Amino acid sequence: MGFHSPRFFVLLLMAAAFFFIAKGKRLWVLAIFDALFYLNAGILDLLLLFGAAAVTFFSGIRSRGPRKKAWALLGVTANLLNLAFFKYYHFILGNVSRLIPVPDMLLKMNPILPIGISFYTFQLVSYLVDVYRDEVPPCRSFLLFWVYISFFGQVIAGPIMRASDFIPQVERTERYTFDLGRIKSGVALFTVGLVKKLVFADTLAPFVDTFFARAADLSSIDLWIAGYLFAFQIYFDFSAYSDMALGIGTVFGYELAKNFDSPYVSQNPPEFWRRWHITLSTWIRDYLYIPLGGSRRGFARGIFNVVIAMTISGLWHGAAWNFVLWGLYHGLLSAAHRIWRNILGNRSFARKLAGFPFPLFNSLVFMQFTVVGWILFRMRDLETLFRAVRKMLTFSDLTYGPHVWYYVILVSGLYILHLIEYFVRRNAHSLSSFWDNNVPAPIKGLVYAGIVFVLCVFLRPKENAFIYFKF
Amino acid sequence: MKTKTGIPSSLKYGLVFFVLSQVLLELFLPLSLVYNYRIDYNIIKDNLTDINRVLDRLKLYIQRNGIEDYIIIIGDSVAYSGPGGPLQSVSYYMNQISREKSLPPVFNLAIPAAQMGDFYTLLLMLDQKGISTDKVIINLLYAGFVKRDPDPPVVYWLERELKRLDPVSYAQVADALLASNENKNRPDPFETFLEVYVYNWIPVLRYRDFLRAGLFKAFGAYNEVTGDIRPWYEKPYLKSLLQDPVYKRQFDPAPFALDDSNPNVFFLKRIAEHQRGKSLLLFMSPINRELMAEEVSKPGFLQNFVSLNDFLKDLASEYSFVYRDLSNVVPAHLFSDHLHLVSEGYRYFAGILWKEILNSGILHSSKAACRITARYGVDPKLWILDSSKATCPVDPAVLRFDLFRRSWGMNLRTVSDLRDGQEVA
Repeated sequence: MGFHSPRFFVLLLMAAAFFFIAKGKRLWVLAIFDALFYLNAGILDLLLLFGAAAVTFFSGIRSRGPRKKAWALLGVTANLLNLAFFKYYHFILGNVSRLIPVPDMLLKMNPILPIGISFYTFQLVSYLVDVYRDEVPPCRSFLLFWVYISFFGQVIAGPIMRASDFIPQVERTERYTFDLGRIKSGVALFTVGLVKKLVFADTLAPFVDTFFARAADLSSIDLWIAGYLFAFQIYFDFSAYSDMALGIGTVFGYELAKNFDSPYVSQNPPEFWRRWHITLSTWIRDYLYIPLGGSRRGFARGIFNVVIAMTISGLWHGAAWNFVLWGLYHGLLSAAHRIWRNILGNRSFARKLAGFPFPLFNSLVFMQFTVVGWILFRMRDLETLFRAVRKMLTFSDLTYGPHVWYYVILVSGLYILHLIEYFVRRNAHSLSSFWDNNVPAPIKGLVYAGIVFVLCVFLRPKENAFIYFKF
Repeated sequence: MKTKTGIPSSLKYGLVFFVLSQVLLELFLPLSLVYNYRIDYNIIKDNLTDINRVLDRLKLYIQRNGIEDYIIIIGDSVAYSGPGGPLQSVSYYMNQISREKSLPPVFNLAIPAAQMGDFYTLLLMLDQKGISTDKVIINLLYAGFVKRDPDPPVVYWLERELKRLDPVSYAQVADALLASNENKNRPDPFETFLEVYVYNWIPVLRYRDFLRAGLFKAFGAYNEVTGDIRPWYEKPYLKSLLQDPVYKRQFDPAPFALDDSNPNVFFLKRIAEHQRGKSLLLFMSPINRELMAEEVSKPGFLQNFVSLNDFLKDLASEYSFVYRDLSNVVPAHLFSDHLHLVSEGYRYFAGILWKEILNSGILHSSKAACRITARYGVDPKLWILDSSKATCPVDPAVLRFDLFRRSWGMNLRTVSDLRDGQEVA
């Protein structure tokens, strides 16, 4: 059930109504609606989530007593095995069977990927590690823990919430008072996400699918167009989900972590990862890169660590080699950037590069690297993938049809829209104040009616699932 | 700023503007947005409720324009005129002839993959909407009579409507429909509930699929073509594709039953009964006998085809409808594949269909036929005879203007009358 489906609108309205009516029982209301929401994926998926939550909750409590390390390790291992079995079973076995014979019985097993497993597993692991590190106290109420892990606003595709941020908010649930301003903010955020998903992401989807369906025959120019279109499709799709998650959280009094911050204005790899899927990037940094030694063990080891961390981040996205390559590619980009930065040091030349117009130039250049990365992300067939990347980088096939200008205009428009979003987010406070105080009510009414009208038009009969639901 | 009720005035304005937009949309939605010489398959395949919406707007259009004589085409992808676009469809060319010769307009309600049960259900839906089924043309395929296993289901699209409109007939085929694999993706009951009981009350939701398609059309990002529009001899992949059992089945030489045990016959009889006292022209669709030479020369196929033709002729005389075997009337070079035609083929076939309509006497009592005779002093069927060779005589600008006027309910004249400066009585 996507956030953009009428079924979800009904669930959300009911959850909100019960939430505000049943003061004193709000955690129960949320716990029930979280379960109902996740039940839509299937009863087995719900039981698995419940089981993972229970094991983690129990391990968390034991992680404060004697043998805390063993209990924390047990909880983390159980969660990672759960993820490995459901997500990487075929990938691991498929690759192993190329090297050594594997019984048919094992190959025939077909574990179905439970929705949101990658997200909630990382959230559970971070909880156990934080408890073990004494950064957060273990949660003593399973009801509270269940809402923390299964809140329907974020269980399926994040943001991956830290216990230190979210559990205290969940604890304050009963003290939250009805606040119209907050509801308005929540609805506004949700609407922004809805527009991104219905109007942009789902509209781009068939174009992207058409391009990638004949990827092997695409010219260099068409491949670049396909890459750009996918770059915007996946951004609109995932950031739409994240905006809606934030909006839902706001309605229920929670402040969920921001996951996107106009990533395509990034000038270099570290900035990109500070703007793209922020909660995953910080998770990878805190629970993988830093434990590996981060940059504390010398320059070369730091580079090695970042490549390893990014490659694992790629594998987190999907059990296929193209995702590994995508992660490795971003790891290598980050490494190259570190080396470049190290060479430049603090020279005056380097300082000049920071001034206008270089940031814009850098953004545009880095955008091209990102687009090549998206090709790696989108294409599963490695042979086609390598051929496509070679074509893109060597411009070996410059044939193009009359449609090319149409897409150039479309992509330019999308990039301008991205810049507008960047500007609006940076000036959100002043623009919001201007909107509240200076825009006449009839104009506001016209805009509201227009938005509702457009959303109605783009409400498709067949729901397009969010791309990140697959992960 | 809040009003006395506590609701921000901007929300009140928003509500007023939204309601106003809905009224305007309901009043002025042009027919061409929901129906452009045929139902838009790309739209209705994802939302079958949209078929009802097309019929509603068509009814309104007929009422607003005071159209009394018109012909309804029902059928599958052949009558729909795949794989080309709407302006290459048989109904487009038939309407072109209609305008030239002041004949009644033709409304094409064919849906690709539709089966005999869908045709029958569509007739019931037309009755329910108050759209006349006095003059109906239906295309038949040999494949429709081939034994189903249980696919393709005899009601492919309109199962829910059949169940609602004729539960007795539905009960006859319910088991086979439930067993069908191709009907497994039935619409979600919750979505259907919303479509029928919620969205139908809000015009922007009711017509959202058409509005969205219209928007994409305006930006040149909408493709109404349903496949490769090249002639069959330019498609190197076609011969191997047609070896697929799905296509082979369409020319299956195994003997088939031509009694009520065959669901196609069952629904054909329902259609014939429905059309008693009205006009019905059934025609066997053209077959590309050059491409399918091997299949159509098999003794089993030939025997079946003869039996089928005899059966349909007998049925036609029993129920007083017209049957024509047009399987052999289109030259092979006008085909796009084994069954479908290229644009020129549909233009050619439109002339043939008009000739058959006029020959068969379907328009015998039609005002249009009387008007032709009165105005030009000729027999309508002679008037049409050379139409198949006609090149597009209508000035596109005049055509667009005419469509615009019709869409907005302002149609008082036909295109040819506009051109001639004459007004229809």
